[in-house]
Amino acid sequence: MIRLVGVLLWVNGRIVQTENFHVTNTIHEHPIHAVEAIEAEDLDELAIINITGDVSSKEPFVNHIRDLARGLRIPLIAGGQISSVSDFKQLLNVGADKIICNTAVIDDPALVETAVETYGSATVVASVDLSATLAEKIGNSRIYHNRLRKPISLTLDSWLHRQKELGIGEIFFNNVEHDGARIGYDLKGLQHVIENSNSPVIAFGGVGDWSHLAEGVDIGAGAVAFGNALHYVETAPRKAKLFLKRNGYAVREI
Amino acid sequence: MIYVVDYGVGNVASLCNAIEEIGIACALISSPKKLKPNDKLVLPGVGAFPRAMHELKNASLLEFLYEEISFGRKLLGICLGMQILFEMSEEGGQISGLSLFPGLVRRFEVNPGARVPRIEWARIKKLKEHELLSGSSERDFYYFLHSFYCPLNDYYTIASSSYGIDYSAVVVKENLVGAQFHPEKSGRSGLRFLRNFANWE
Repeated sequence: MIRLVGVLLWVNGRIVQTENFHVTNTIHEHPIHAVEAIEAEDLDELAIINITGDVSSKEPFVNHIRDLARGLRIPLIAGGQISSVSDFKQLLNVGADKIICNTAVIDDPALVETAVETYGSATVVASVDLSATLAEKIGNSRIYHNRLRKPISLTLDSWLHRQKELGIGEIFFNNVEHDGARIGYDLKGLQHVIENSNSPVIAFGGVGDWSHLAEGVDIGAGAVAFGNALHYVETAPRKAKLFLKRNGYAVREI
Repeated sequence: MIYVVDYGVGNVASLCNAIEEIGIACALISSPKKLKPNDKLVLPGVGAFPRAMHELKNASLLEFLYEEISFGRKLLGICLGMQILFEMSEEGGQISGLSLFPGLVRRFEVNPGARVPRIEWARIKKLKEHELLSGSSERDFYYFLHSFYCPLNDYYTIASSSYGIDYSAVVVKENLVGAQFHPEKSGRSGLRFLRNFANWE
């Protein structure tokens, strides 16, 4: 059964929207407001990613995760600024169920390997930000690094190989050009990842219409995620599920 | 009081939050402690079987758990916490568990459409009536997040789930219960399960 995942992007305590990885506006001044506004319990998982880009954001982020986890009875995925085992430990201790890492997979694979050994593969999610342009062969597409802050370093296929080697349980797939663009997921990139890995894949980036979610399901994603679209309409998760259900997709009903 | 065993391998915060949400007092326990007659134990578990067994031994909790269980203390094992109640697991070699339920914990085989780990909400199939399942219906969903599964058992399995293979979702033996899903993360269905455990006489 497909999972519907809501993604909140967190910058210094605020929930924001982005377009092509640039922050465009603040939606909520505190994640708790976002969780209430979107009626998060209708989702199958909630992800919240710290995209601040500063180590000083770690502690406030952990505090917010603690606040959120208190009242949330669905799985919580937390990520961003993961650079030590202590980062995994702290977030898991306050109530996160899975940890997403992105830069660490590229810069510090040994850390990720340790996390998988310590917390289990099901606890670690590897996030990849693809740029769908340029490459002749999808496998040669470039991975963006640290949310565009560093030069590109790996190809998609090398990244997939590494994800497998490290035993990471799940993949969170995003595409920079699709972020905030409302054109649907990068289906080619997504398909390549799904076909070239054994792990469940969470599709993300570009949802503007509920039919985009269906496209993600059809292509074999284990979960379909959306971020900006959470804030376009009221009770977005509920509406998304209604759409999927009406179009013949099995979803968890509340 | 429900005591959640904190041995470094569980999401104890979420569990305590959920238990408190249903109005039951909850506390962590990380070393042997004298409990009151009506106290119950919850054994969480996230991560790997070998490490979980190792941490329990290190914290001198194994003896304590065996004693409590033999005196009839009600204990709920969740996810990996359920798996370690079994005889042995394939995870990390063939490591012995607490051997309170018979059988080998095995890894899911990868099938098209059934990737490993299993990460999904799913229904469970009630095989026997039991107060732990009271109030639940065929339409309830629970959150599963695991790569290894416990075998079915004619005596002890009260609910099963299916992922390429049918396996135990809930097992019960006298004062012991194991749940493969995460009741603290399964919305209302999960809270109902925890409430049933809290009320279980």
